[in-house]
Amino acid sequence: MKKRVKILLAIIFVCALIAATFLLIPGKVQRDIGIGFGRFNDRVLIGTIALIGVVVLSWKVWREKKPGNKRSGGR
Amino acid sequence: MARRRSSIVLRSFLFAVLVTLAMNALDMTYHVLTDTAVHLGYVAVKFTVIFLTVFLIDWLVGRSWKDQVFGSIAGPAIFFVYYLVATPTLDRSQFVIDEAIWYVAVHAVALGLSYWLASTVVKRADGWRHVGRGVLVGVAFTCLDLAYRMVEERLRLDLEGVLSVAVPGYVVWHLVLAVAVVTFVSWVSRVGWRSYVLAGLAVGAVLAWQSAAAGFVTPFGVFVDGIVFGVLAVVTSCLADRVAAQDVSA
Repeated sequence: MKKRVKILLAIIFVCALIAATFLLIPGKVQRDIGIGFGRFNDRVLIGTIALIGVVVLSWKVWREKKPGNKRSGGR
Repeated sequence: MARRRSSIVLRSFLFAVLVTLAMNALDMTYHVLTDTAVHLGYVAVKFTVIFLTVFLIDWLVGRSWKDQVFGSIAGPAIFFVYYLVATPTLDRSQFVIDEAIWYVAVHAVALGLSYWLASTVVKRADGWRHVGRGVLVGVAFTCLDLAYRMVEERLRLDLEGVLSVAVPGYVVWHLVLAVAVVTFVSWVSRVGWRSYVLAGLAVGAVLAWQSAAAGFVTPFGVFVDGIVFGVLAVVTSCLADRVAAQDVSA
């Protein structure tokens, strides 16, 4: 794995850790429908973004490990 | 080198924006046709999750059919996880969409279709390219059209941003007319600024007229709608052509 990817992976895992910590805090604030930006569940959104990073990087590692995979586009 | 790197980021960014707009339009149409309300906050979060998934896969991994299939499943699945975790925070007196696991399949089909249109159909050399471009621009335009309606409602009425005007008639008519007009313009004109301006004028005029005829807006609102629709049609047409011209082999 390239150094750049490792750094990105490390950042994402730290974000995931912070998000997981947030998720443990019980929240009672509820505005409007409770979904969307600027609401109580923004912390859930941060965790979801971290999850996206982990999933995409896992897919990247999987694709690069498999022999014979051809890439079209991407980096 | 730095220039090439930034151009790859921009390429993936534009592609992801277009695919996500198209996917969200198809999804909102589905929600409206199945009589479930569409909320601005819900659409905003879904747009963010799907956009980031498509963008990161395209930028970091690639755009092969395997990557597209993976993205079509991973994006909706991650959104489903978000929804499950966020469920305890929802005010059920206002937000009534009950996210079921099979919605993942609906979202995956919508995203897969958008991927296919943006990466394959608009690049064809035959006449189907015009149809593909018309459908892609039409659905992407419809997403912005409905978002405009939701934002307008939120600002004007200080409501949650529920898409109250999005009765099936509004959504279906706008979708069909936008697709038909853009396909026709694409067929009769070459790609370029003239084509975008023509699409903007035609879509703005036809859809503003439709909104007025159906009684959705006031007479003054027709002019505002016409201008907004025209600008949105220009933006989505330009975006689709930038994506169609992308060379992903580099």
